[in-house]
Amino acid sequence: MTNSLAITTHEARRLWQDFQRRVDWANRDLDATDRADIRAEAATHIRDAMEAQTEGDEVTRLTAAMESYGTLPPAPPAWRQPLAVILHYGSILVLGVCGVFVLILLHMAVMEIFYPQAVGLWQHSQGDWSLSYEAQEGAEEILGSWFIPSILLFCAFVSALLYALWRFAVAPAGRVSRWMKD
Amino acid sequence: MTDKTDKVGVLERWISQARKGYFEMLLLARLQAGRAYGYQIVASLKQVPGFENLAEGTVYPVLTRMKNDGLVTAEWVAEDSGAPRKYYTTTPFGADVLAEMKAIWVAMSAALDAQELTT
Repeated sequence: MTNSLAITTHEARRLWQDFQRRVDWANRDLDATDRADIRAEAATHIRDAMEAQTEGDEVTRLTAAMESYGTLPPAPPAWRQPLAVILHYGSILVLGVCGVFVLILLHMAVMEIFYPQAVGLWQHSQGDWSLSYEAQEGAEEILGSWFIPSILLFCAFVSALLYALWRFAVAPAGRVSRWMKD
Repeated sequence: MTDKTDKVGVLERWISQARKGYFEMLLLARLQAGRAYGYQIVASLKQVPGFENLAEGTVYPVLTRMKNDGLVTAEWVAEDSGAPRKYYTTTPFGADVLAEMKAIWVAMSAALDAQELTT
């Protein structure tokens, strides 16, 4: 059911649109049908309340009617939901790419046990660095026996960051997932 | 904090909680008197002591919950004078629940009057 309120002035229209967003936000736990019904009922209610008032211009009567309706929490800004969608799916991409990178590093750490002369972090004569499964000609392996503990520590650190990102942006109970539903 | 402020604070908290408890019973009682739409229900409730400053919008989510619980039915009715209004009516189940609520209310009142709680 849809029900609208006939508003003539620009200021009253602005107040009314903000009020509708607040009503929707206040009832965000209800399903879409119930929310639409309450929105329509709010329009009827405000119209009745405005008609019951004889004094004041449209904005005054609308403001009084909305105040009687009760204090409604401010609705979140309109850009929050699309931003949440971008954050959510962007985070999934980051988690996938970084997850693969962490797995490769862990694999290198295992391979370092079997091929300590080949696998490592190499510094070239020009100053460039590279991670490689093969010994690099003219380059010096810089971590040596510290390669495995360094990689494990780095992987643990990155995994902790990825877990925090997952909790924030991807987990169903996370903040970003809640923003997506609001 | 003085004794008076303390008393006022305690009473305000108690009244606020009690109001929530009465709310559905009052709504059912109003609707048993005849079908009504939101603004009419609010106007009736505001006559009840303790509900004079009722935030009018709080009625609608409660009515929606009561409808989902089967206590009331709701129907949009087109009005000659303007936009449609949603009318609420109690169901037989709602009337039964109201009767139980009233019985509990009466028993509670009687217990307080008879000072049964002191024995």
